[in-house]
Amino acid sequence: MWLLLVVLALGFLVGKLVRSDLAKGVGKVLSTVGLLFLLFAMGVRLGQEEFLRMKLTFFGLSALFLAFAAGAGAVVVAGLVERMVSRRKRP
Amino acid sequence: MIGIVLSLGTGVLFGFSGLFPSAFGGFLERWIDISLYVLVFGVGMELAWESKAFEELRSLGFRVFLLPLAAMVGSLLGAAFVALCSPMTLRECLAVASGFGWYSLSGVLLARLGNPSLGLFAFATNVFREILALVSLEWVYRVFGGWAAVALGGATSMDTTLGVLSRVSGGKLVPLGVVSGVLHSLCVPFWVTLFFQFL
Repeated sequence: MWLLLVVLALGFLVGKLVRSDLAKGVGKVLSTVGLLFLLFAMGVRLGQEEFLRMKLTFFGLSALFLAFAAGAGAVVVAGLVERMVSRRKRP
Repeated sequence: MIGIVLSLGTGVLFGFSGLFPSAFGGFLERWIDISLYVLVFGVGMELAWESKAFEELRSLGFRVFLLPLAAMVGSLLGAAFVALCSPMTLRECLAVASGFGWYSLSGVLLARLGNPSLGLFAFATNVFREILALVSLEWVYRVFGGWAAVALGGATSMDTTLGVLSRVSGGKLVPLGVVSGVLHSLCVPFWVTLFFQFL
């Protein structure tokens, strides 16, 4: 986790050293390429997970339901809190 | 969005069909690490000239901590709802959902705490949460706003979903995503252990 923050700070510093359009352009290319490669590799790893494949039929739907409910709960509560905070910020 | 689904889907097909030899497991792990560093480095570079992102963080002050707090409370409320309408106990649902998308840690923690099958379930649930966040983040941002999009990512908003957050918000949500992701990640071991052992 800390190494990721160091790399983020390093990218920030390098970005500050070059022109803004160059930093934004190169940054966008790097983040897009990184994201697509990361997702592909994560997909390969998921597809290879033997135990996940075996157990998926057994608890797949329950796991999906719980993931959806937890995500939806986070979205709703955070969305409401954001509205409250932005209402207070207004004069 | 299409790129995200295509990359992930192609990867799953490659892994599932055996086109990508499982003997290259070490190579795959390194590939994931390097891609993540390239992604985060790129986001850092984009962020360097994104003054609006820091303005928002400054204007929020200590209220910035309300976002991860609200996201965690929301996730746990969602899990409690599942416990009400499924055969799973409240303790199990809360322990699993408090992985907040960090599937490797939550799965291993629950397995080590003495319930390997709940560990597997936590692994699958948090993998689904991460995939759900990656695929629906853009839509959630447009419909529910920035905080909701960051909240959906949970612990992953500082790594895998950070690139998508940066893209949909034009970099504006990156500092919030990092703060929220770090706090979520720090809380995962605490909540998982607490719910599993003491509830």
